[in-house]
Amino acid sequence: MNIKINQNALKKIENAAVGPIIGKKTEQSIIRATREAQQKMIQDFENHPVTQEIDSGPEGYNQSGTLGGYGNLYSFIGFEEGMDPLAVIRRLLKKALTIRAIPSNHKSMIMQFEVTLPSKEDLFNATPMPWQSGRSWAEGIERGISGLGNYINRTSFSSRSGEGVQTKNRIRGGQFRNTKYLSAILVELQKNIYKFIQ
Amino acid sequence: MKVAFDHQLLSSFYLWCDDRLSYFAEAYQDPISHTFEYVDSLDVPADYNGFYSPYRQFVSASDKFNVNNFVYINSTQVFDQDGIYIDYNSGRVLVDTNSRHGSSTSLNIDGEFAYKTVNLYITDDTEESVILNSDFIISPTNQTYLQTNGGFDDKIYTVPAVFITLENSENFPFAMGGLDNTVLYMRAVVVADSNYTLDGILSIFRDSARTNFALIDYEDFPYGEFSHIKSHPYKYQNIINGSSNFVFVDEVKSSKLTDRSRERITSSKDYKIGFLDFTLSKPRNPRSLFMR
Repeated sequence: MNIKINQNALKKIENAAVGPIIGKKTEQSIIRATREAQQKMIQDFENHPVTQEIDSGPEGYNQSGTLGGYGNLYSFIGFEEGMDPLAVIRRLLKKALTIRAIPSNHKSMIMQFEVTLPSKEDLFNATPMPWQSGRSWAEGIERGISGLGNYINRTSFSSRSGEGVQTKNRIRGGQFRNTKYLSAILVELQKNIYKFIQ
Repeated sequence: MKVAFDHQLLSSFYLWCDDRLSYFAEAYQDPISHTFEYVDSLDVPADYNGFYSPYRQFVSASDKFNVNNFVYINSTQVFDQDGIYIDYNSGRVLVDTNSRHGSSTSLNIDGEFAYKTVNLYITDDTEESVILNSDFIISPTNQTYLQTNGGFDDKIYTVPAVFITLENSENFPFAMGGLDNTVLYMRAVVVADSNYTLDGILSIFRDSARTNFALIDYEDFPYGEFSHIKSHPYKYQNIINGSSNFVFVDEVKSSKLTDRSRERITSSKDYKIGFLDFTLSKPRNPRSLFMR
């Protein structure tokens, strides 16, 4: 069977005509892909050894290997017992990702969508060091954390109980090994969105 | 060992920080007369006697006033490297005991120098080690001859001061042909005696983000082995003029130790402590070094 295409008529099809139909379908597929990728991201975050170690609190062991197997991140960073430093990250990661269709020229057949993802900066800003203003512990996992928090944390109990803190406490330095954490999880999120759309 | 990129970077970064503090922040006291006193300290090289000024770290480069390269020994003018070395970093004069000045420890030495009100140190120590394992003395009040307090073994630093250290670095592929972007994370611990000084230091460096500084060849480094000036007058601007080799200051983040935390460290109770995290980047061809 021969099909004759009316090229002139095809040229007259504009975004305005097909947009509402195709756009809806595309938007749904992007929403689905984004949700899937977000679920995967939350899983990646929960399964990350750093998350699990901090989640274990002051009794945890150094499963992330960042401290060479000694101590645990919760105490090393200097969190006080009872603090939940991961809550704010969980809240930000679980926040619904916004998807917005960007209006295009009515003649154009290209559809554009903008997906707003959690940013590294938002996460770092929301995770301040417990003993220091302006630095992020989550960023520190990737760039290095000093043992000062650990020291302060250890002296905290003795301070509260009225014991004097030593003027000089020789400490072992250079013991933290950086590891990729939130920034790697966010890069993976972006990759997964593209993958799931395809 | 041959000079590596990191050596060059660290010394260039030091000079840049020094210029920021001296020229832009004007963190110095105008030239005043100093009397140098003999102190038998641990770090004076063999065959030298050390005569100390009451102040640490002299300003060694300035576009705003003349930096002296001489002192008076028993009222006779003696220039740097003429049997003596003026150690700008430690605020002292090293007298060669084999020179015409002899080995007398009762020389009358005086000279006119500007001193830094914010000292600058390069350190290999981690920031917790700087804060917890060091002794600080406040410049310039009642701090005369720090070497008598026990020498360098005890890590005694004159503050306000900035301690810089190269934390870690990584090469990222940048362009074809073997070009990598070397990203370096520098850290600085700032120990000050007042919030005013601390804020001033943090502010000037934080505002230096997205600028660049010249990478200075090691042989052009102005200081000699005794922290003396190899070739007077030293002016930072003259060294970097014409340089086409720059390091980009990508990001600078400043932070402070909270008062609550500071209270827990007895040794730093009287000081204000801040931190600067620098991210530097330098596209370069690191593997060219391995060509035979």
